[in-house]
Amino acid sequence: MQAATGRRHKMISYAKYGYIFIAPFFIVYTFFMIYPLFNTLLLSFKQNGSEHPEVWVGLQNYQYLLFGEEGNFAANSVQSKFWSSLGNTFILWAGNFVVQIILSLLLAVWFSDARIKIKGTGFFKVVMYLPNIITAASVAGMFMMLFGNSKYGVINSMLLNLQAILEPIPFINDVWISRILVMLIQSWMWYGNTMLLLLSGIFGIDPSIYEAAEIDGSSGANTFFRITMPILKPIFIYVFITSMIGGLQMFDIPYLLHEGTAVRPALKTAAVFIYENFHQVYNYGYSAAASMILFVITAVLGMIVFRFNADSTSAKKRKAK
Amino acid sequence: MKKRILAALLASAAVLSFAGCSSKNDSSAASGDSSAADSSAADSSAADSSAADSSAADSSDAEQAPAATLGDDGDCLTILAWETNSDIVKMVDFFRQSKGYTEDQVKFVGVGEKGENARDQYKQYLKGEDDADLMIYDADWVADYINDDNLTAPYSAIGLAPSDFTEAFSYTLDYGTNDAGVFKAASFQATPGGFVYRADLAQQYLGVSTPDEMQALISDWDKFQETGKKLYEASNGATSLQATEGGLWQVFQSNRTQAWVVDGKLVMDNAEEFYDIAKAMQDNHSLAGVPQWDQAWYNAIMDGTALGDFVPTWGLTTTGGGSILENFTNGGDTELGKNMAICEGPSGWFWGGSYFGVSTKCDNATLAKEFIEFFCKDAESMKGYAAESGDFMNNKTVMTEATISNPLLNGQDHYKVLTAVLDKLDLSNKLTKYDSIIKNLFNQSVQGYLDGTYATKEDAINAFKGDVATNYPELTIE
Amino acid sequence: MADSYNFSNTEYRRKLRIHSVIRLIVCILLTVISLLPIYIILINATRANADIISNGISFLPGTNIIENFKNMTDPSYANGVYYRIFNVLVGYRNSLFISISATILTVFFSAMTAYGLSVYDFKGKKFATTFILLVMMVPSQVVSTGFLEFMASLKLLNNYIPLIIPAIAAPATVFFMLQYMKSSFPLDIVEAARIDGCSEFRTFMQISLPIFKPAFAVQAIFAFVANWNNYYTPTMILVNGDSSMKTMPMMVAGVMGISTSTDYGIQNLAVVLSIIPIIVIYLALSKFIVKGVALGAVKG
Repeated sequence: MQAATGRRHKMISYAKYGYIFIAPFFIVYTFFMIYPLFNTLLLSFKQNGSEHPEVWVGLQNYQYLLFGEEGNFAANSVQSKFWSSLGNTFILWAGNFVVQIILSLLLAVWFSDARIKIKGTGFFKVVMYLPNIITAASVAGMFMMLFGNSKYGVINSMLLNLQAILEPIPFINDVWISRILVMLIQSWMWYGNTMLLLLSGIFGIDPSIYEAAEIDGSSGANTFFRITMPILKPIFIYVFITSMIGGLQMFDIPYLLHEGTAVRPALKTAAVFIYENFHQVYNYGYSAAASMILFVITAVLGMIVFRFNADSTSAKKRKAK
Repeated sequence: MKKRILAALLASAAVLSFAGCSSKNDSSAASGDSSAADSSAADSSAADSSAADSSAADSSDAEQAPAATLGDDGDCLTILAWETNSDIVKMVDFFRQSKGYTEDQVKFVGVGEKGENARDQYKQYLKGEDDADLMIYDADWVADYINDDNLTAPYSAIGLAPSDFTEAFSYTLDYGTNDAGVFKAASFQATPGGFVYRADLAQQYLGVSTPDEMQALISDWDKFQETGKKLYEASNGATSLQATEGGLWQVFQSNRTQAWVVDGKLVMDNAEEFYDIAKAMQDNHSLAGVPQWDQAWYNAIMDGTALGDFVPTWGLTTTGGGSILENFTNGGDTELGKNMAICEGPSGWFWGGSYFGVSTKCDNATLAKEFIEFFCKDAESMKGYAAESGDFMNNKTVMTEATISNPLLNGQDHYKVLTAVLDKLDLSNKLTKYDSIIKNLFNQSVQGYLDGTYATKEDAINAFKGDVATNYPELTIE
Repeated sequence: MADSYNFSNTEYRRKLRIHSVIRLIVCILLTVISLLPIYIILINATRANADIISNGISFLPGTNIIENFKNMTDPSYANGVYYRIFNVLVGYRNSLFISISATILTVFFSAMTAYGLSVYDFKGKKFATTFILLVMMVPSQVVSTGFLEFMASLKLLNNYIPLIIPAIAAPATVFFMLQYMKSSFPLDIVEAARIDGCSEFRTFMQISLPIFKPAFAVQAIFAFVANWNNYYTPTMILVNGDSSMKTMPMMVAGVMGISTSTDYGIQNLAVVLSIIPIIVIYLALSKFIVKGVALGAVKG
């Protein structure tokens, strides 16, 4: 107890350094981002269309997006589109997240496992991140070539040659095949990234803890669940939250993966909805309101995850003290 | 008069030549100073070019065009174009050479990598302080710009009226007129297209040996469908008449009798017919249904899965770089080109094209007018440019006289065919600022009907109407 | 497991070996899947346009890479459109400058912010942490347009400042550093340094930063890749068409976006050229993602 007060006393005297250290971030963020944030907030209360950007409509845009309006065809159309875009977003993110996290956690544990060494770990670590360095446009182009709907698609022509199928499979036009494809592409693009994050967390763990565990005869699974996971938890929470943020804003691949002129309806995510309303037509109001709603959803989910985690970490800290 | 303007311009150019026709503006140079990081990476010419804009006051005292209301004291005609627009480079070069202007007097600025991007990026560019006199608009979004008085000035402001362009193909004038009836953009080119097909297969399965005979088989939409059916049967299911739905749609949409929006109301007109045509053609396999701009598209023509597709002027070039026709012939193989031919197809249509609009920032009215007249009005100079570039110019006289022998169309003269296509095209009173979005939404709904996203035609039409309502809440939709 | 270790050492070893083989197979499989698309792009860069169109995918390199490069840099090929938009050296110079500057700023200031929030106790600390978490969740669409408008009104168009300076405030990176410190930063080190009479800033620079190394390397890679591939913001900031300022993705988008024609050989070559620097940087940085850095620092 005495030691604790002593430490607190010291910390107070260093408080000004806290402000100095965090100042650059806050100055820069405020300068560059506060105006854009408010701008969007204001737009969300204004009427759509480039001709009347100054007309205030209160919460009408929010109302249309979330609830529609009795007998108003336009409002109900936009409502159903917005909700389906939210649904698509959650489906695509959830599917991608599960595959990605299992794969990258498994790999991170394997690569950091002192007992079972995999030859060429360094090489694998490098190679597995590579999908992440190519721009989404090239990735989408690549997969379109492989999974083209017609008989000229690489996979289709292979299957046709093997006589495994009689008609080409519409990989990109089919609702669920295309969704699964997006999930797999997203996992493919990001599993290396997630693995590196987890690895850096694991490598940050003091090796002597592992040495102690090994001397105690702890099994691999045991070490993982009792030692690695608890210490890794903050990084894991980070991965979860950032993946959620990224997932809720998923745009590139769903936006690009189509052979016709339009984004596939089953792949229209909330971010695509926001983009199309802003750039194709001048529905700034819808676009801004939709992005504010997306922000609120993200923040609420994020806070739930964080609260859940913060409680248990502070409990752990108390215990440690 | 032209000479005097030129002399005056040359004189002022001599004074200003040290400043050059810089692409840097005051703001970038000024802020460059404030950041060592920035100036080290920026082009080294930044420093000496910042003076350019400030000297704009020095005017060339040439005679003003009679009705021109825009300023005429700029030192350099600045034309905005997207980077990949290959026309503008040739045009600016040709204009400079023919008229004796220097690089400091006429230049183009590449804004945005491609046409779609330029639409947003011009606006961003105009927010800055750089000069802009003329802008090239893509046909897709020309309506956006000419319906916005803050962006585009009327042609009357530089002393030009639609009556100046008597030789232009009429659809281009309709295209350059905004919803209020103000003429704001002219084009140097026309972009009609024809049905490009495999002549060898047509001979084999349909027994036609000339493009005229082929044309007789597809001269209207009923015959087009009928021939499609016949071809598929005759080839034992090997060959469909049409490669892509996209090409079909491009042609069909020029076919309306009314505008998409009349008095704030969405008008379907004959649009519903297209759902049936496309669906029937898919069902009886006269439509191969490969995607446009994909290797599958080119392969379908080369291996005879499809007999042909609709290709516009700019897809028929043979200068390398993979035009549509070049890709149909395995990268421009003239041996394969001997098997290709072109005919008019069922209706008049066009695809794409670009237009010159006058920026409200324009401060070179006289020179802007001269440039536009040079490429969009004067038969003599347009003929010269056609010879230089092989472009399909927006001038009836020039194009009736012009001849070409396209090596990838077995030497056929596609100018003849395409001028005939334009005769069948009438867009007067059929264009609105909503068109480019509505047309695309319509196409998307048809595609959805074909690929099974929508189970019935009614579903597809309802989805289309819902899309239009979402995009344009102000329209009445029944 | 402890029992089996005692009872039958050989069986345990055999088990380990089997595990190791299974893991190796999975890794090789993933490697193939991960590399395949890049490999195909690479192969396509060596093939002629006609070859790609008519023969589709190939696993054997073509012989056209020099020809593709020549066409790409030939002022007369396809009216010189490739020559005009794609200048690989200028693209490298600009993109490297922007990406490296932004990466350094992101990593350094994020570490600094996270350090400030973890090591010191001060009023408003909780609020500051929550604020960073909250702004991290702001969808990029929310700020993008307003940001561009704001930059235009500040007369910062056609300038690298808007592409570099905002990198100082990278909420997600700060969050990562915070989490990283939570799991592997021994606060005792700071105390020890203070007792040694080390100034706060020096403690941060010389003692704490080395512990951040794995986190640094990872975040530097991510920041570099994100900046290198950033396309939309640069196109809207560098709008005056000055080709000497253009970034690599702008050039690649140009090559991809030529609306009247497509030369797949050149397109793939452009992509290959644009990813070479990222691979080099990644290889250089990935060396730092190694085991036991924290331990080394404590002991040292």
